Order: sequence, then structure tokens, then C-alpha cells
Amino acid sequence: MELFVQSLVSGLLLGGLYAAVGVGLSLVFGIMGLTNIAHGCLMILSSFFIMVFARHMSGSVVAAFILTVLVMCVIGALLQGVLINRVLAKGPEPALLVTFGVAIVIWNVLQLIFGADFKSIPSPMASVNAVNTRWVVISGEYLFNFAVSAALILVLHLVIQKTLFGRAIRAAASNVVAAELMGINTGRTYIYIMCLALATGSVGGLLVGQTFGFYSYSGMSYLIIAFGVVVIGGMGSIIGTLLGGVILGVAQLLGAYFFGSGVQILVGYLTLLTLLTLRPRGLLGNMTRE
Amino acid sequence: MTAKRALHSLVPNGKSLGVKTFAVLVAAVASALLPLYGSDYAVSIGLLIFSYISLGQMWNLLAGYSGLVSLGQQAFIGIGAYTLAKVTTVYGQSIALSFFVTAVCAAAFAFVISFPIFKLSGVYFTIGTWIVSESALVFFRNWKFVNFDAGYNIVAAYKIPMGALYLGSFVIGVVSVALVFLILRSKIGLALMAMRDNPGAAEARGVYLYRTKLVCFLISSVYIAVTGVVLYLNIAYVKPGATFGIDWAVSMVFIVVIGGIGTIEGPILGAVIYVILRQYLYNFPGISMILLGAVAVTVILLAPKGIMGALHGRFGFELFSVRRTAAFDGPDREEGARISVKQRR
Amino acid sequence: MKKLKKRKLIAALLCVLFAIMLAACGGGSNGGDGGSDGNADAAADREEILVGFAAPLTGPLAIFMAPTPWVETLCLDYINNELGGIEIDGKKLPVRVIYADTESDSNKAVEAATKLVTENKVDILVGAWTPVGTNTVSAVGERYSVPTFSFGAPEESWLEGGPYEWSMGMQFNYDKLCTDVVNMWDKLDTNKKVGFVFDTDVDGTVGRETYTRLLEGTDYEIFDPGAYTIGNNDFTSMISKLKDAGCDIVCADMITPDFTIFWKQCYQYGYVPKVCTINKGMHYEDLVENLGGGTGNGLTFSALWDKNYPFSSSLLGMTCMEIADKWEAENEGFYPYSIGYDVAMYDIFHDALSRAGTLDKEAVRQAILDTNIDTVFGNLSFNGNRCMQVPAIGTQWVPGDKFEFDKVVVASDTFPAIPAHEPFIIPGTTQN
Repeated sequence: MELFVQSLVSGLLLGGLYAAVGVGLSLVFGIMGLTNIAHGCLMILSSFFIMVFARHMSGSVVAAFILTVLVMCVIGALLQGVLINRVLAKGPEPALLVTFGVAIVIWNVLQLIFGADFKSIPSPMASVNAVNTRWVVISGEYLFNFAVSAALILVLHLVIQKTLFGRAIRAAASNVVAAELMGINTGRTYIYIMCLALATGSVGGLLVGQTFGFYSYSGMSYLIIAFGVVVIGGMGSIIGTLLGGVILGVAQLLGAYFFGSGVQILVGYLTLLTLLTLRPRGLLGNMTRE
Repeated sequence: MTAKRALHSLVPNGKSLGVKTFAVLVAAVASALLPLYGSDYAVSIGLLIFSYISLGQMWNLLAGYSGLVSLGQQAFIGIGAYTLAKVTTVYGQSIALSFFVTAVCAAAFAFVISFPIFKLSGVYFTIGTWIVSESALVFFRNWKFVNFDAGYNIVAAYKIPMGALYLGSFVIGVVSVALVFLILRSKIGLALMAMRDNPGAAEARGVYLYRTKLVCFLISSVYIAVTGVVLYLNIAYVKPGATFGIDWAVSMVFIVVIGGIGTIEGPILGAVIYVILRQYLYNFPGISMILLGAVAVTVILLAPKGIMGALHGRFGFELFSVRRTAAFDGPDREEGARISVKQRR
Repeated sequence: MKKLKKRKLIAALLCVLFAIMLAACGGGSNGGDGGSDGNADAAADREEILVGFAAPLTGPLAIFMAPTPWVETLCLDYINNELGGIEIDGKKLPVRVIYADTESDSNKAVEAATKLVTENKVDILVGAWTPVGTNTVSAVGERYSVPTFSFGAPEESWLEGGPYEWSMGMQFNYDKLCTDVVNMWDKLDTNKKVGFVFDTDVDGTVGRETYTRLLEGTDYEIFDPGAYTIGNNDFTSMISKLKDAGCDIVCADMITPDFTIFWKQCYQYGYVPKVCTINKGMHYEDLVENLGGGTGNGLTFSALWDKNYPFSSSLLGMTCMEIADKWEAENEGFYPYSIGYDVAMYDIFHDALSRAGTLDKEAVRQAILDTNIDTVFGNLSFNGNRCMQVPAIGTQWVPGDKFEFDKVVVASDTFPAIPAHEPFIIPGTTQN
């Protein structure tokens, strides 16, 4: 019973991290209808940036993170402006293949520069045990991740619901033509969205880099998690990503509890596949574009 | 001119049996005889090229003609490789039997997973197939029956002469081209074209979308699994991470996109480029993938139909005349239809 | 009509291109170094001895290759410059090593090895590190009947690809490795409860089976929470179960990233076992440092080579200690253990090729098989499985002087020539 409670709690907290990984994809997927295969690789790219910047800025991870967010925004603007905006109109598949190509390029360039060694971002919480009772033990790092990620999602939700920029985004999401007629430059809006997505992706990159570490080719495995979060939570629903992350995290850990650690990852995938088949639009999908 | 006319009359439906057919035949015969005059190295490269042609053709059948962009076809390579290992190494049976068992297993697996994944459409189908294949990877890693993640050596394949392996690969490559050619010429091909041009109207006219797509999916999956057997007769060592790896999907996508999606010649050209480029850049690991990735992105942006598509658009050149445009390119769709109509006449 | 002409032109061009391609392929056999057929005439005009190394230059296994260029320079400099080469058919020829990258992937390993054999026509093919690097390359050697040498994998899993005719190995024996790990635990005061943390990869499956067999009938008690899948990044379930079972000893076989996360999470969940034996993932000092906070202190593992071995290289005439010190003087950081394997390889090749005196495939193979020399692993010769067994002995990471950590041998019963120290317990506690 203790172990069951433990799995539930850890899964919930792990879900927070997953949500941070997926929320950027949710923006891009839900609003632009772009299946961004490069999302995971871009996130790992940000992890590398944070690691390198931190090394050159006397180990200040916070400063490195802020700089990374700026760099990622520039990369996002270039990616969207130069490549993706040009193929978006041709339908979902060409855009998907473009991002697929971008993903391969990013991961191989990273491998060329940094090799395939295991990297990580130094974390002050690495061996902190926050709560230790008979019923439940909580890792300081997991708790921190969950808090950061919940805060990120709340802020993002408010931005999209309450600000003018958010309204433009929602307009572009629901009807491109109408939005353009109302004077919204959707191309530019898309660039902003991509920047926002990559900035939030950097948060995911930071948390993943501190908690789990990463390789140059880790991107693809985090992409599945991101898809899981988005598909379960519902495309374009910001709050939904938190729900999606939590469901995925709890499913994995309960899977490990019931069937052993070997199937931990498999249970996550199967949960995702089942929900994908039963509810392709997700549990809380609202800004979906047809 | 009279000789040419005579050649024309040899073909029942009056299609031209001219320079192109001659060229294709010469190339085929020359390739088949490669082990007789080529070096060991040339044979080992040729072997890869024909296997990759087969993979490319089958991915193209899905993505280029049926509108099913799958990133999970590597699951079938894994099934082929593992069936081969199980049948020969573990049970000590013949390689010939493993081809048969592979086909049965792949067909069964494809059929079973078609129920969930055919509920998905568009990009959801892409994600779904990818997750299916990743799940298969994790499942194999934890499956006692296949020795977990430890893999097998295919000892029976060590002593197959390279010439024989090459011929196997040649046959699988050539048959894949012929198969796609025939499928596109058949009723299924017509249905695919109708489906691509207007799914609603096609269905109203009695085209069974689900069944047509399913048939293509089954053919592609089974054939990829059989290609997997040929590939792993060469590699002779199976391990889940390698057999179910996303790398296979990457190569299929690159081959088809660069060569020309929705064309028969495209995957052939793409496979040649892919294999030779990788050999050429062997001592610069990673560079070939970066180059291929960049080329693929450029191709999608500038010439969405790949090299063959661009050649065709420019000069109207094509080797195999069943060409229809890719399922998903918008502006040229009418042109594609026009050409198809012209050919039908 | 103009369009038609263009089409024909392109078709003709393609035909020509194709013909050139085929011709180029066909000509490849003559264009090389002319060594494809007939060893006798090949040797006459040979300029050098070619060793082809299908190596994981990139990818997760690349860490093993870190000292390889340094060792190559050291040994080849000695062979080619000091000794003037190796005498082949009355003429002294230099040795050259060609690398082809396996990208740490079994599919690419076969492609790389095939390229070395067919294009470069190497005299000896080498494959290394883990079954991915050895079983694959050995298979290629068998197919093309080329003398093939592989090292750095468990003997048991390497033999699964056999019986070999052309392949020879220099591997560690998993049975002996596990025996010394148990000997190491014997020296420590614990509750004798062993918790398994294995993945489903080769070492994990072989390890589970071997330890279970070795511990049967002893007073050790095994707790097995089940294998995990490589790449897992949350070990909550595993750690909670180990903690519940109150295991004083954790016996893990994990790759570096998995263990780094696992060990960190052990601390996060307030479970620090008295003894943690981690194989595969913690062979390098910088990796142990990377665990952070000094948590690597006291970790035990099976070292595959150590500078304290009382042996020396017969080629270089240097002791293990001298080689390791030279490395540390000329490079940054702690000496990597893979130096030992690389040096031993050159020891063996130099000895065998000198004895063979020819590049005839059969003769080279026989000469390697007849090897009986002193290397940095002690005296090596082949057993009936065409495999040389090299030591894998119990070792512990302890606080060091020059670097944050140093490693000491703590159990070497399977290779008693190597001196051992007493191990200590990690100053953590197993909580219940």
C-alpha cells in the first residue's frame, strides 16, 4: 500500500516535468496545426545551450537559462519565418517532413559538436530529500520541477486568455481567414507562437537537463512524451497539458507498480495509444483547428 | 523508324517500348550480373542499394500514393529480423522457412494494429505508427521469448556467399519496383488516385477507402518485413535497438523525399544517393545525416516532388509511366491529373 | 517534339551515368592496393600491413575509444620507427591502422567492417567493446574469412556468435567477474541481502543468471525487483522496493546515464545502501566525479584494467604503472582503463605478425592463435574457444590525491597474481 501511494505521488510530480516538456508542442500543434517533430530536439538543444552558457558564466544556471531563452526565441523566429511558414499552407504532411529533417539536422550537429556523451546541468537539488515518512518519500528535485512547471503553465494560460496577444493567437487558431481579415498577420503571429513554444521548451530543457541529463539524441524520446502530454491533454489546451503530463506520469509509475519496472515506459506508450484511438482530440481540447 | 514500330507492336497495349524500356532492361541485366565482374566492395554496396530501394518503394506506396505517412514501418524490419533469428538460430530451421514465417507474422501484426491506427488520420496516423513501433521496441527489450535486449547472432548467415546475398537483395529490390508498378496499374491504383483527388466523391462512387488503404498498408508492411530478412541476412546480428530503430524510418523518409515522393523512379534514385553518400562520407560520421537532412528540407521547400519530380516537371521525363503526383502536393494536383488522364487514353 | 528529344537525351545520359557507375564499381577491385586475389603476389608489392579497426568513434560507446589514438601513436611509433616495421617476406613493412566508425550501432558496425574488408582489404580486422562491437565484426570476419580480433565483451555473449573459425577474442569472463564481486562482498559486514538492479541488455541478462547461480546455497539472500528497460529515467518503483526489502547490497549493471539518475534518486528517496556494486557504467573517474557531491565515494565495480597490475607490455617494455603515468602526464585527467586493451592488442599483433613473417591469411590466423606472450594483462594465450581471458576484478572508488577519486583493487581471487586491498563501506545507511 505504501508503495502504491508512493507511485501515485511520484507519478504526479513526474507529470509536472512532462507537462513542461509538452506545453510548447501543445501551442504549436494546437494553434498552427503543425506537427513539430523537431520539438524534442529543440528542447535538447536548449539544454545544451544552458550547459555551455553556464560553464562560461561561472556556473550561473539562472543567467544561462535567461540567455538560452533569448537564443531559442531567435532560433524559433528563424525556423518559423524561413522554413515552416513557407510550407504550412501546403498541408500538414510537408510541414511534418520539414520538421523531421530539422530534427535530424539538429541532433546530428549536436552529436558532431558534443559527441554522444551523457551530459547534465548542475542542480542544487540533486541529492535533496524533501519529505521522508513511512507512507511517502518525496524527492526535492521532483517537487521543484512540479512547482516550476505548474507556475509556467498558469502564466501561459493567463497570457493566452487575458492578453491582446493571446486573443490574436486564439483568433488565428480558430479561423485563419477571419483572423487575417481582422488585420492579424498570421505569419507573424505564428512566429511569435514558435518563439513562445521554444521559450517554454527551454524550461523543459532546463528541468530535463537537471533531473535526468541528456544526450545529443535524447530529443526523439522526449518528443514521444511531449506528444503524449499533448494528445492526452488535448491540443492547444494549456491547462490540459498539465493534466496530460500527470496522467502519463501516474500511468508509467502505476504500470511499474503493477507489472514491474521493465514495462514502465511501455505502459506510458500504451496509455497514449489507447487514448489516441479513443479520443484523438484529447481530454480537454478546445483551441483545435480543423 | 520501322524497327521502332515493330517494337511498339510487341506491346499489347501499345505503350512505347523505346529507349527507356531498353535502358531499364540493360540496367537490370547489368546489375544482376554485378557479382560476376564487380569487386567485393561494389557487390556489398549494390546489396545495400537494392535493399534500400525496396524500403523506399514501400514507404512511398504508403506516403506517396496512399497518403499514409508512417514513421513506424521499422517495426516490420524488426519483425523480419527477429523471425529470421528465431527460426534459424534458435530453432535451427532453414532460411527459406523464415521468409514464409516472416510474411505470416508481419501480416498478422499489421492486420492487428490496423484496427487502432486506422482510426487515426493525417498526422495522428504518423504519431500513432511511430508509437506502435516504439512500443514494439520496448516490448521486445522486455520479452523473454526473444532473449530480452541481448539479441541473437544469425550464425546461419555467415557462410552465405556474397553473390547469393546480392542476388537476394537484387530480387527484392526489382520485385518491389514491379510490385508498386503493378499495384498502381491495377484497380487499387485507380482507387488510390480517386481517393487522392477527392475522397468524398471517390467513396460515393464506390471506392472503399478503408479497404484500399488497408491493402496498401498490408502489402507495404509484409514486404518491408521480408526486406528486413534480406537486410539481416547481411547484418547477421539482431538487437531490438537496432532492428526497431528510428534510423530506418529516417532513411526511408530521406530516400523517398529526396528522390521524389509519389514517383516510382524517386526511391530508386534516392536509395542510390543515400547509400553512396553514406559510403563516401564514412570517415566523417554524422556529416552525411546533416547533409541529407538539409537536402531533404530544401527539397520539400523548393521542389516538393523531389529530384525525379523536378526532372519530370521540367522535361517531362519519366522511366515508368504510371506516374501520379504525390498525395499531398496542392498546386500541381491538376497538372498531375491531366497527365494521368493523358496516359489513360 | 523538342520535349521528346530532351527526354531521350536524359534517358541516354542516365544510361551513360549508370554504365560509368558500374564500371567504377567493377574497377574498384583493381584500383585498390591490388591485394584482392592471391596472397602470394599481393605480398610482393605490399607497402604496409593494414589493420582495420571497426570502432565506435561516435555514439555512447565512444568513451572506450578515448585513449586509442594515443596508444596507436605510442605503439606504432615504436614498431614503425624504432623497430623499422615488421618483417614480412624478407622486407620490413610498417603497420597502419585504418578506422571505420560503427557509430556504436550494430547495423553500422557490420557496414563499417564490410567496408574495411572489401574496400581497404585489411590484413587483420578488429572489433571492440560490447557485443554490439564484437559479435558483429566477428560475423563479418567469418563471412569474408579474414583473421579477426575482438575485445572488450563478456566471453559468454561473444561465444554465442560462434563457433568461430576466423575470429579470435580477448574477453573478460563474466563468471569470474561475478565471483570476484561476491568475494568483495564477503569482506564486508552487511545483512547479506542483495538487491538486483539490472537492465534487460546482454550484461543484465547474463549477470542475473550468473549471480543467481553463484549465490545459490550461500547465506546471501537475493531480492530481484525485475529488470528495467534501458533509457528509463524514473526509478521510484525500483528504489522503493529495494528500500522496503532492506537490501544492504545493491548489485547493479547499468549504463552511465541510467546509473547517474538511479544513484541520485537513491539519495533523493533517502535510501543509500552500504554497498553498491555498479558494473558497466562507472569505469571512469570523471563519470564518478560527475555524480556530484562526492556520492561516488566507495562505489565498487569490476575493473577491466588497472595500473597496479604487476605486469608489463612485452612490446613497449613498460610496466602498467609506467604506461598509466605516461598517459596522465601527456593527457588531461585520470587514465582510462581501455589503454590496457589497446596496448595488449599491439603486443599480440606485433608478436604474431613477426612470427608469421607473411601476410597470408591462414598463416596470420595461425600465428595469432599460437600467441603466448606477456602483456599488460599478464601472460595471455587462447583457450579452446579461441578466446583469451583477461582479468575483471573487484575494485573500489576511494578518495584520491591527484584526482577526486582513485581506484584500488579489493578482490582479485580469480587472478591471484594481482595484489588486493581491503574494501570499505559507503558511509550511508540502509534505512527501513
